[in-house]
Amino acid sequence: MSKPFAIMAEYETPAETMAAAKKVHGEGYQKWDVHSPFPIHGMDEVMGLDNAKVGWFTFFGGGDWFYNGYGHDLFHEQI
Amino acid sequence: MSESTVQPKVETHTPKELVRVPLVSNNRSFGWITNQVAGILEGKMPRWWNVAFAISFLVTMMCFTYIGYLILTGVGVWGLNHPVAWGWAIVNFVFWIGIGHAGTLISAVLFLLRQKWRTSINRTAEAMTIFAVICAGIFPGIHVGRVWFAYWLLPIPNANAIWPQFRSPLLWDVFAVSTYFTVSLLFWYMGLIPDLATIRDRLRKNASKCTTGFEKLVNRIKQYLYGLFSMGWIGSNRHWRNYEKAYLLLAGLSTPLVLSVHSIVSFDFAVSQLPGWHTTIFPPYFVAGAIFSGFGMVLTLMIPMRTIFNLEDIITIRHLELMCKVILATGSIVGYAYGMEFFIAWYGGNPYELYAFKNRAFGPYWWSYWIMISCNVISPQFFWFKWCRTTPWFIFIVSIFVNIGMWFERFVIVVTSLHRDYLPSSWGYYSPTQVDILTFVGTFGLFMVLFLLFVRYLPTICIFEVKSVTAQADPHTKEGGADKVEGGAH
Repeated sequence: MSKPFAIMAEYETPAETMAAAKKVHGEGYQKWDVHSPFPIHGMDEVMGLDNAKVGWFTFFGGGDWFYNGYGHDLFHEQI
Repeated sequence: MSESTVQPKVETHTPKELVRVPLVSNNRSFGWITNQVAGILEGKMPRWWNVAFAISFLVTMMCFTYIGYLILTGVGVWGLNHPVAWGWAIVNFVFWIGIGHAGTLISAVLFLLRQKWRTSINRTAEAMTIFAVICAGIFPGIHVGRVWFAYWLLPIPNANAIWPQFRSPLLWDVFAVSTYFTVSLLFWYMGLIPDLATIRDRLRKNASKCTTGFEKLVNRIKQYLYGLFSMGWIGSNRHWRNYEKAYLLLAGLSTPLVLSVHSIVSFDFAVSQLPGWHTTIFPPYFVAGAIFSGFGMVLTLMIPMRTIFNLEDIITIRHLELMCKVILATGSIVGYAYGMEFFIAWYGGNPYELYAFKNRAFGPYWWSYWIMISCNVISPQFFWFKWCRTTPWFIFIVSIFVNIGMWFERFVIVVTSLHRDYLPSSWGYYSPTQVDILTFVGTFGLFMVLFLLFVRYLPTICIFEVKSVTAQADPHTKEGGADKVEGGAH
């Protein structure tokens, strides 16, 4: 038998999904994911995911706004 | 000491458990929620939709016809003249902008305050915000007189060195409203992404049911478009993690807009020197009024919608009741502001200010003032009674009164302050013309056209958010399967 490409399992409830995710994470799998029709709170910790990096993008977006709004005045000579 | 020996009386009975009314009634399943909401746009629209769309479309065309007439002829076709140089156009602008504020409050502020009841109403309220801002945006554009120079409102560097007047609050409006529209649109679209993916997947599943070639083609086009806009959403938890963070940040960024937009709109008046406009109470008073009017419009739209599409289990009586409480609170703030304006007019000792307010209530426009008071201050007071807050037809009637009252508030502020200023020789009486009235009526057509298209093509309820507030979505409850797992969810 050839090596399977992937393994998939379906669960009825969020708690069962979470328990399964906990087990998979404990086994040390790297390429795996949980799919759900709504965000399950607490799943990030169970999956061992760190904080989302969206905040940094937002922060630098704000920095860009600040530079465009005030930076030209503060850091550059005006006509 | 005898006191130390007294044993506290231990209550033996267990206290009665207070159970919250669930946000989705009748313990509906995930599948039911999806079917009910997605079913609206997957099924054939009922006949009334076609009729309503046809009427709204014709009314919209009438609006554009009158705008065309205005542009070809000039603002003289409106009732504007000296001394009332701001008439219905600015009244309608403030009216529509105000309507939008409920959407932003529901989506941003209630989200940050973790008011979970917002989930079933936020999509429609945000759609209403966007459509209302579109209707509002028409008026300043056509009010500038030479419409072909409306782009001068934007600070575009050009060879002629034509810059807008940065000290004018009307320019601040341009920035406030364009930011508001952009952020509202992004927020709305972002909330739609997971639901668009749901619709896309269901279309793929239903493709086999298509019998004719045309149906298959429509299905393919729809799959493509919903798929394009759902950005490859697959419900992965790694996506949800980023999604939720982004939604939270966007909510935080749009929260200031709830306060800033209508504050800046109020500066249009408050920054001037005119008695009746030149007051510091304007920004908070306008913001409260905006939220008040917006919730009025949300209820006007939601009450028929929940009945027509059988959404009573998702938009429950509890949702309506909570919205009525917001109306009662903001309506009372508005009532307080009306009273305080009068008080300060007297207490401030400025005879012109006092005259402006006396004239407002008892002058030639007394009727508009008292329509405003009865609709905005008296009608929401019914919501002190539970029966009034929980009876949909009654709420609907009050919501109509709120809409009417808030239009009249802006009319009172604009017209009564302008029509009699310092010099009695320049006093006058302003009346709108047919063009004024029918252009405004026409914007309701535009609003309804957009809203009907929204109902037809997009999920009117945020499917995934409604699911996430049910008991079966929580891994720590029995409904969420906690009893099936050893040691609970963790």
